[in-house]
Amino acid sequence: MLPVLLLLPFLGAALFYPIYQFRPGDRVPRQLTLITTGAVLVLLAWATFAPGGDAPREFFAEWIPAIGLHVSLWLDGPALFFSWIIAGIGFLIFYYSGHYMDPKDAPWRFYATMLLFMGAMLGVVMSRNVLLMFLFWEVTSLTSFILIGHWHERKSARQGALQALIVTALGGLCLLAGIAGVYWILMDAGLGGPHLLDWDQLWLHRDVITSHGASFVVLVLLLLGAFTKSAQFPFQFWLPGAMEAPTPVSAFLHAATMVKAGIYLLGRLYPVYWAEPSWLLIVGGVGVVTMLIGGFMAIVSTDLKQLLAHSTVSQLGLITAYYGFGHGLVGTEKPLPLDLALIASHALFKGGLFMIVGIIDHGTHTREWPRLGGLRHKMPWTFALTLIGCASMAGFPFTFGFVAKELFLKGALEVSQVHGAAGIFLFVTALLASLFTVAYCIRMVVSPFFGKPRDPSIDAHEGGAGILAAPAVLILLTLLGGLYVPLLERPIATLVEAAHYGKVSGFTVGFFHHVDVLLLLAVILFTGGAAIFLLADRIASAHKVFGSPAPFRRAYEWTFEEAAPAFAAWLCGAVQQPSLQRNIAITSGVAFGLIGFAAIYSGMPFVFEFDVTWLDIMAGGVVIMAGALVLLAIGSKTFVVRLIAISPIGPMVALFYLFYKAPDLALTQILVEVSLVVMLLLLLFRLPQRFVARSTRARRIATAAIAITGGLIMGALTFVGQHSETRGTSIIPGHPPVNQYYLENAFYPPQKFQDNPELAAELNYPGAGHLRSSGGRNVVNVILVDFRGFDTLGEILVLGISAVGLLVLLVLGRDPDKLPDWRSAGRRAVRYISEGYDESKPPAPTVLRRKIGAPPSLIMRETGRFAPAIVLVFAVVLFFAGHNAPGGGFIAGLMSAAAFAILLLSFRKEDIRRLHDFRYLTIIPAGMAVALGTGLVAVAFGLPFLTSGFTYLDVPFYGEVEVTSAIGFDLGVYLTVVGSVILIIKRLGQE
Amino acid sequence: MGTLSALMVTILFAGGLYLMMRKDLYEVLLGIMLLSNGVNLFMLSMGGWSREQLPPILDAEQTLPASQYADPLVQAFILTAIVISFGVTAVIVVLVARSWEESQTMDAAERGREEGEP
Repeated sequence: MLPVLLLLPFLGAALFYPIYQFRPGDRVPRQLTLITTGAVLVLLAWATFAPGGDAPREFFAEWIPAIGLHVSLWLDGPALFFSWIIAGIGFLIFYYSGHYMDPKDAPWRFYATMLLFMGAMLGVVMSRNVLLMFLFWEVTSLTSFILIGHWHERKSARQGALQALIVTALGGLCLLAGIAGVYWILMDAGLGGPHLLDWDQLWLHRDVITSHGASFVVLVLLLLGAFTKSAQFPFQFWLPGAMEAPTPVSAFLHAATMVKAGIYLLGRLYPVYWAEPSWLLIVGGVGVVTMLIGGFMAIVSTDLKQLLAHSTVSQLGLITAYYGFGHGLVGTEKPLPLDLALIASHALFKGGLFMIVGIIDHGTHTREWPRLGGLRHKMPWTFALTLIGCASMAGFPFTFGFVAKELFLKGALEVSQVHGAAGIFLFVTALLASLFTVAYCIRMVVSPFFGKPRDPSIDAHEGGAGILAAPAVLILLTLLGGLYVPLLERPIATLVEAAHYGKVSGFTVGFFHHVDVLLLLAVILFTGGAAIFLLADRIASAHKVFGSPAPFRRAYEWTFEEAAPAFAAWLCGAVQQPSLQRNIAITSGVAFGLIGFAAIYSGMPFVFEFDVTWLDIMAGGVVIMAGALVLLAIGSKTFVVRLIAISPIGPMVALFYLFYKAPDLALTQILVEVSLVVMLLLLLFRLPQRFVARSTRARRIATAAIAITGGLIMGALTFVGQHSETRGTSIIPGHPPVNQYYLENAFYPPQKFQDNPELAAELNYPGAGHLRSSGGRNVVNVILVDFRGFDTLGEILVLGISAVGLLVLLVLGRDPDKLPDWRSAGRRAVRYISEGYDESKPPAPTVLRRKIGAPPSLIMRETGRFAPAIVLVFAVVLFFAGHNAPGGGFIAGLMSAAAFAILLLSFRKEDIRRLHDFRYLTIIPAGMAVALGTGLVAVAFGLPFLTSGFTYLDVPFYGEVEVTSAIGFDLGVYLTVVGSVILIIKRLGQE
Repeated sequence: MGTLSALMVTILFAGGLYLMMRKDLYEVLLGIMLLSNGVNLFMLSMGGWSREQLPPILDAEQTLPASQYADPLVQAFILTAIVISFGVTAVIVVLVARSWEESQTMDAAERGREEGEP
């Protein structure tokens, strides 16, 4: 159930694209968001209210044990609580968006991203595994980036989006480091198991975590993650910048949910760290300072949305501080009560108020309160909702906000009594900040709605019922929660109990039921707040006079908008020169320098052999010849001579492959050389006879110096690498090296060994006793088609892509007028590829024949009649032999392609029209489909992808014959190679 | 043999690097071919060499231990590497051809200047 719940928003988001493709401009997208969110809510309701607690609230699936990452989900108290907030407010926001956003302005990707965000946010709160939570955490940062930059043609939107992303991503990295630290501490203590990184395990092992030497560092890292996400001091500046987002996004992400992720993290960490003295000082201190800064900035803001943003910063600070104050309750061992009440009350009134600002913006086309006034007559409903929302925000009695405020003040008061000077500082700062809160709430109600209209050009009008509905629901909930206490008390008590794993007995939510010091404080706050409001204009003008120092924002801007780009520009300019030669020189210089340093530093031994045999003499001759040929290629000026000099190098390397006992490689290399030489010949016909790029003598010497140094370093490395002591050992202790494993498991024991394991053991047969094996004697081939089949699949894909890319390159840009239009060129290329040649046009002469001016030579033609047939037969033999002898799909493919190349080059096109006009491109995907299909067959049998199976068949008169499914995969390889190589050669040969 | 393959790798790398750093695109192409051969041989030599080792093709009834065979893993890697570098070379071949057709020069630097790069 939980995975379904979690996947629903992602599925919904994935559906947008196809729907948009088939019905562009449709209203379906918006409804899809409502349907998806509705389904999530239904599932949530089932999980919450299922009779007898039948609904499964946990889910576990193993994922990556090596790093403790598992798909471990749960719906405990806080998870359930946050899920309701996310999905509930999400539903209202989507409804509101439909009325708020101009359909032209809100393409499907807007709604898809919002849904993605909702899914990620649900993932954050439902993850029991901390590392899994981190993954979703990062997705929320990314989707927030996209949504803030929704109007990306505005510079300020891009800036705000980037700022939010950089700050939260840096915090995310800190969080990851913190999680790794926790993991390390737990592993260090000898703990383990798949649930090690689950929240409840962290709480269980809180003594281990807090008593470790690195505990403080880990705590700070984790807190940095929380503070950046929730815009806490000194990172508070990104949230106002994020207000460039459309209002539904601000209401959803930057008021109700995403910024609460940091708060959520604090709540989860609280049971681990609450008794630490640093917890009070850091969390409490950061919280009250953020409150103060946010409150002050809200008073001096003239933009209503900015006002709300600063107030959000302030309120998040309040909740953070509340968690910090929890430390003040040390000794009572009482877990933090009612933190969720604070969060809920803020989510309700702040989400509602943001949407109201959106309505004001729609009705008056401005959000600047100095231009507004007297709106209460023209927008009575908006006014009523604002009044209630702000009352709740200020903590006025009879509202939900009052409950929250009372809780907070109670905590602050207790802290001031228990913790001496530090406690009193926290209390006083918190009080001061609360005065600001009251002041900006009054501002929000009075300035736009009372007085006389200040700007006559504004023609205000009330929003419709549709757009008012969503904020009304939220605002009325906050009123209802304050007026009718039991309605609120019971669910919260349930959640708190579930959240803190224990009965929280005997708490009552105090609602205006006694006149005590708290109520007195509230009265002081309201009078003081009103006084500050009256002074607000003076504060604002003073603020303007002194300017806005905003040192942390400035520090951010200097680091990420000035210093970092300047450094990047300098570095790129230094190493990425606009010259191919210099780039290669720099790259190879750095690479070989590092390799050489590593080789010398690690002290690899130089071992000389003086055991000269005929083989060595032969190899020595090859080396000398190779050297001479390379010098010839470098010294020559004509293309043909260079080609002739270079082409024997490949076969020489093939000889070395033979010396190294690698017959498959030698075969492949020789065959590739054939196609390569043909290809280069064809290229020659397209190029000038000779071309001399002038270069100075000094330059040539410098180039040679770099090249020779690089060559010597690689040569030395080759020399010492062969004698490395680590060869033949595995990095995993107790395991055989992987090449040994392949050798021992490639070949399945023949039937007689299977029937007689004792005999196999007696003969020390490789692979005896192993069940996992593939039934081939050619281990190289078995590795390719079975052990590392996935790799091979990727490699044939690369080959296919290079063939198609080459085709596109050849067709591209033939029409100079349309050169820059890549899209049309691509379409043209695709049409060209899919429709083949235009039969009505006369056949184009091949380049070869045009240059030579005559039909292919007699020898070529006569050889071409029978040679390809022989080659093809040989290719078939090699293909089937491949599993047990040198050969296989790659080799057979190259050989067949060579046969076709002979055919294509030695005959006139008219003679072999059908062969010539065949669409070789279709073979490539066909081959890949065959390879993929073979792999999927295994999946159909419930085995891992690409598992190969085989059996022995008893063929009459022949004996035992092995039939393996790997041959299917090899066939796919064969087809892809044939298709690609023929296509390449044929297209190069065409005009 | 180790010494000789080291020499061969030296030649292939030095020649390849030198050609790649030249202005002429055709030389660059040949340089890449040399270099990929060098890389393959280097990788193969990391699998080790001994006079007695056998190709990694198991005998039907054989009872030899795994250490008698040449390392099959590097061979498998190189086999695909050879085929892929063929594909890559083919693309570069076309790039060179098209480059000449478009600008009638084989000089990489000159071409860069034409396109307005400094």
